[in-house]
Amino acid sequence: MPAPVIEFRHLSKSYWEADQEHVVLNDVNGEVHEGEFIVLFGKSGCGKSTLLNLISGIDAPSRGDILVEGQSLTGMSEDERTLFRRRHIGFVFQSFNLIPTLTVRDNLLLPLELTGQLDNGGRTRLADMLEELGMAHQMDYYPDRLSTGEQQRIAIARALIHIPSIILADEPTGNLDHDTGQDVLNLLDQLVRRAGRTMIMVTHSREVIGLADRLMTIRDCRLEESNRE
Amino acid sequence: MGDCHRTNWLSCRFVIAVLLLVLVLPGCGEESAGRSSEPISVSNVLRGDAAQAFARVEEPREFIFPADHGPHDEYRTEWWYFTGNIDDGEGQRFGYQLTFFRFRPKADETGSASRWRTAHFYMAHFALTDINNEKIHTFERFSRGAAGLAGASTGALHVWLDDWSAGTTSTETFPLRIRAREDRIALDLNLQQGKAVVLHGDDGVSVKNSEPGNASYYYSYTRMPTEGRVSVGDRIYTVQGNSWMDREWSSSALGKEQLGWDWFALQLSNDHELMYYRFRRADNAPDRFSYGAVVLPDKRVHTLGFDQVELDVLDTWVSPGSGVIYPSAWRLRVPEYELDISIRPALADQELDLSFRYWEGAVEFDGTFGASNVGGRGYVELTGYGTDSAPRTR
Amino acid sequence: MNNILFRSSRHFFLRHPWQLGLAVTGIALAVAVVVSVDLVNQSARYSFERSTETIVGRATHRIVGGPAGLDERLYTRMRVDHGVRDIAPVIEAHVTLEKNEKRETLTLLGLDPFAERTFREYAWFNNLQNPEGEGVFIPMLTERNTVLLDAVTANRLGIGRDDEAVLVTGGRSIPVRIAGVLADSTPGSSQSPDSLLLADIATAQEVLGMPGRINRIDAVLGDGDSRAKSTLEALLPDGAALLPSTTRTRSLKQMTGAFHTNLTALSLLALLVGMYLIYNTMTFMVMQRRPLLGRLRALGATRWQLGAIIAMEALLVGLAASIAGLLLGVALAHGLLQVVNRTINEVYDLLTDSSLTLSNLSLLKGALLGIAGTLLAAIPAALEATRVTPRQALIRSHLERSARRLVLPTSLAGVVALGAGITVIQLSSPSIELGFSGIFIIILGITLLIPLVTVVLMACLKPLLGAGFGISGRYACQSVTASLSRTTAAIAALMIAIATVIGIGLMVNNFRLSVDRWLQQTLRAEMYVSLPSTGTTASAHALDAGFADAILALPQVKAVSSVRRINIESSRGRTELAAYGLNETAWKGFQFKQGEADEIRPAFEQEDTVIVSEPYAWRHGLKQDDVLELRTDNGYRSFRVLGVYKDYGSDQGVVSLSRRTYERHWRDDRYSGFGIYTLPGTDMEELRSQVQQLAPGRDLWLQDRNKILQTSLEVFDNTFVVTDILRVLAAIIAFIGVFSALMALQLERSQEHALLRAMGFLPGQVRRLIMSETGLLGLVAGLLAVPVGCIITALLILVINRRSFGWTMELHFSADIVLQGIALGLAAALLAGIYPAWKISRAEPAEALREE
Repeated sequence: MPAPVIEFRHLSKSYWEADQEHVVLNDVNGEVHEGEFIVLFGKSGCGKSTLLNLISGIDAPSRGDILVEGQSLTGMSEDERTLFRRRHIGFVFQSFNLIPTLTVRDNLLLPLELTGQLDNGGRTRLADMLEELGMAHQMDYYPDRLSTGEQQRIAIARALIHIPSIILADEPTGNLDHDTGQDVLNLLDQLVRRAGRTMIMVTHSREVIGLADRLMTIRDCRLEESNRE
Repeated sequence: MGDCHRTNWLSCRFVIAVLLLVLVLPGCGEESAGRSSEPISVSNVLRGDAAQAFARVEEPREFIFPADHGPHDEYRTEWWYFTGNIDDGEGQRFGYQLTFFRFRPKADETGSASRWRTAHFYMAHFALTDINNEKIHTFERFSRGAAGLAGASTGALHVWLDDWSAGTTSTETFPLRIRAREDRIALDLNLQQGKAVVLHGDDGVSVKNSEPGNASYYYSYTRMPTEGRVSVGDRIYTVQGNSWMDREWSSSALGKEQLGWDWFALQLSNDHELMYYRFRRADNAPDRFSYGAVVLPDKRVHTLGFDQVELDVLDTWVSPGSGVIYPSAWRLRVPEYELDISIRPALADQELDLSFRYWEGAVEFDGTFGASNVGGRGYVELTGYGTDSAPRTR
Repeated sequence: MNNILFRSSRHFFLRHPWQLGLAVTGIALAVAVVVSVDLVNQSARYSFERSTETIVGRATHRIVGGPAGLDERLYTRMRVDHGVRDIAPVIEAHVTLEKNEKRETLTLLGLDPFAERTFREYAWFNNLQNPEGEGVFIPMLTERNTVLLDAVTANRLGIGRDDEAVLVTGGRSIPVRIAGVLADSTPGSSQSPDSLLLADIATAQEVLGMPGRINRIDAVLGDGDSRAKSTLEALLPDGAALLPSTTRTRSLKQMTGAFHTNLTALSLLALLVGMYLIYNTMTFMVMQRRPLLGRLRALGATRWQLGAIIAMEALLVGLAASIAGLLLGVALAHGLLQVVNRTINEVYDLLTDSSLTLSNLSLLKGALLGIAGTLLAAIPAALEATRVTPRQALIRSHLERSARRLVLPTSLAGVVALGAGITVIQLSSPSIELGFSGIFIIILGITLLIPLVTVVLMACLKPLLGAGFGISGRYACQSVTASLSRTTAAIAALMIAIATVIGIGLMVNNFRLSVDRWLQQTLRAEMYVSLPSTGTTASAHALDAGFADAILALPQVKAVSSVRRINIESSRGRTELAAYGLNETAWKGFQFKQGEADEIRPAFEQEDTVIVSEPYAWRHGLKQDDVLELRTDNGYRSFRVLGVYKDYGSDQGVVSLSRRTYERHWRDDRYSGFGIYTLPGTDMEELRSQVQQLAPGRDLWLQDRNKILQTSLEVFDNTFVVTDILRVLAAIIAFIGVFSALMALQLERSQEHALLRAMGFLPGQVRRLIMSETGLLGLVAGLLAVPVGCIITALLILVINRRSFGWTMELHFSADIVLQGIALGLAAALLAGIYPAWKISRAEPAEALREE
């Protein structure tokens, strides 16, 4: 079996608020294999987003180790983690995914610029993606002219455009109505799953859970794994 | 007749205090001016050289006129004092008083290029009693004796303070012209000499009490035919009558035990004049320095000692303004002359409530002189009445 | 509901202490500046009234003479011969009192106590600080050199009763004895004297050396008592005039009126900037809380409740800030007063009280301005709060979209305002207040044009920056346009601040340059001699012709020119007259704006003619060939105006005539000063001691040309200290405003920055982004500030200075102000960007993202 794409051992995270320690994650272990679709499940505020942040290197754990694509994040400086994340991770948030002062096009170009892929390959990908989304005519719009559903779809495109190996999605359909959310999920399915990329999604939607390969539940700051039910 | 030296002159203490008060508190002044509110005690205010620094009245001197009508600068205080009873011949009667005081606080003198620098200060009182309308008008002024604003000329009788003046009008001393004016009251009179000058006391040396040097030089003109004009508001009256002039100068003060005096200047219908003053003492005993004089028609003068005149107060008057009680009728007798007269003020309220308070007013009297009846008019001055004997301001 | 609202406010404030602190500080400072200037202005006004009341007393009129004052015998005649009662003689002069190595300039009043009953409030005399209450008047009246001194000055100089001090006047030193100290104000008396030396009139005559003369006769005439007035006038000799007292107060106020108006305008500028601060803070706070506000609306809060909340917050902020501002303002006023007093003393030769009059009206005004300004500035934010719908709360861009729609109408309004401002200025001559209003309107117009300029500039810069820096470059430009309502406000504030700093600074520079040039040209002699400027022209202590002859006899001296300066009072007010005895060289010192120097000279010397300085021509509407009436010793006479010349020495203006003309109409044989022309190679020090020896025992003022130049410029610089202080304060307030605005702009985009970090932007990259955004704003502000600053300078010179003082000045713009402006703008903006940049780079993006 090939090495897992993501591996975390004895991961703990707590933060301090007014002299009180809040433990978010306590000795969490797990691994994700390439191409897997993991759903992170759990009550609100119990650390799902935190785990995503740790995996992506946005945050550093209090204890434990994270390995992504064989590289240990815990040994890296913040700058190194940032650079790593830039290249390897694509993020989709629940909201505020797009820079409001950049056009759709520029929003999509931003990751390309960051990763030095502003060459023809990148631009072609951009054009193709927009075509595929059916939003090529909105290339020069600013995000505020798009509906929330459209914004999320662009957000997904932005998360993918630099061909990251891992997609992290934090409740991507949380702000959307059922039908739009469905569209978004279909898109994710199409662009991520079918392309064989690894995805970890935090969600409450039972339907999505049904689509996942595995289910990770965080309860009482600990991780429980189960196969999908 | 006296060999004793009497004094009659307005108490130096009072005059000094008044002038100093006035100089310290310029807020006081004329009838209508505003007053300052704080009483100042005399001893606190008094500040000037002691009497010893000035020339003193000790011995008789030769009086030379008209030179002696002028000021005697080496003495501390001096005045020119005019009173009179006048009427317009149709029943309108007036009494007037016009006095100019000179005061010198310091014996030494500083020279100066400025004509305002002087050692002498002047105060003047002007009072007109409108007997028919039962009103007295009183005015007071102050000035420095410099820059021509006030003063007395040497060598002749001419004294003035602003536009009030008394003085000669020609090379001759008489007639004197006296003029005073304030608000809507005006006086413009000519005074003839009348009888010759009368030197009081011992050839003009008038002793006031037992301390040596406490005396003044003092002379009077006792019956001066007068004519002129009096203005009250819009009405002008042509008047005539008789005036009385007192002149006095000295450097020293009254004694502590002497509270004040009552002074009478009476012009009798039989061409006699009687002048009498008596000091009132704290212990109510008669003051032996009280003094009087009778001027006979032939111009001879007989002096009267304190024991030769009997004066009884017949009535009193309470001033509505100040609450002070003044005597208001007298019986005066000079047994030696068989003189017995009762004296009444022409108007009860002739109080002058100025920088210091005193009563001075026209009076009329009648009675007997020997076998015949006699009457007349005159002036009476009452000082030192009231709860506080010190001059004060309201 | 209200509970929640209030708690949310408080919570919000606690979480953003910076914002609140900055807003309060800014408004407090603005209120402080306004209050302090107002207090100082009021103090000066009261002090004029008080000193006038002290010096004029209740006199309704005064009789004045010519340069030699009045003959004292006039007074005696009026009193003794004509029975005039309510008059009093007065001698008045400025003198210096020295004690314990300290010296002060005071007013010496020589009075006659006997005449003074009706005139002055003597309640303070009753409270003479004499423990035994002894009279002081006898010594004052009978002894020489005995004076009374006011308590305030006595304290300052460390003098008590019976102490000796030295009185200096006309170059002479005279020992005097202080017979008493005039008490501080007593109950019931409104005035307490300050800087006052009281003496008997005889003493004053002796000390000032004017036997036989007095300065004036005060008179009290009843209202409408025209008979008394004409009686008095009939008694006056030629050369004397009966004037109402009000002219004195009026001319005092008028003299310094322009000065005070300028101060007030500066202070209002500070307030304006402070208001901007509030606008910015309130708007930021609404923006931050839009989600909360939206939810509150969803919960049932009405629009007006939300608006009211914002208004309440603004009110509280305004209240707190105003109170702080009042306290600060009073403290500031104390310091400001000293500077202003010194200026007024030096420039106008007037004495003002050294103590501050705390006017409740000023304090109230300041507090109300602070609160009103705060509320006014918060209105846009409050209105915005009322417009929040539950749904819109989530869409930040809504506000900005509507803002962008307003760009064109706003610009239109701006153009209209510009036009209006220019019209106001054109039509409002000679009003200073309207001139300032016009300038404010023009600035407002320019401010309204900023959105358009910004949009255009950004549109131009975007491709450039995009080419240079890629998306980040475009990003920075776009951010500016995206938050237009906020960025333009920040730009406006910064621009105004920089423009003011530049504009006023440039104006002062130009002014200084003009004065310098003028001095160089006017001062033709190598050395100047005069008496220290105290005393009175009636004094016999002045310099005389003999002194001039003695100087001319010195071997190194080639020529001597002379001047006599006097003040003439007439029903039109006070006129300063200068009578010159000039030679060819000296004549060249005059720079004529109207009239040809060579053509004028003969008529100037021979005929009844004058030349007037610019301010005088301006104030009295005179030009060449007009006729001017002056009150001479022989009554009113007409003089033809030959020309108008440049003179920065006095802002009231001077009428100059030749010595010959002067002596024809005024009986005065004295001089105020001489100009000494020397042979080349003369040793100035040697000459100075030789001249001093010609007047032993007199304290002469003897200066060579260079020293005068230097000292004059020092006086000039001192004069503008106040302006500088206010300028700096206004700039500080503006910078605070900009600072907080830019910070707010960045901080509210913390989620955006977090997104960037999440996307893999390094902290350094985000920092650079932030700095470049603020830098752009600063650049725009700086660029705009340059022309605006120049406009302000031009307006100040051409409009305000001209109308306030009548001066024309040169107008130079140097290239380095352009650099100055841009540099200042960039610096301020970058400074403002530092904190957010630092903060963002420190924050863990996780925290920011957690807020979602």
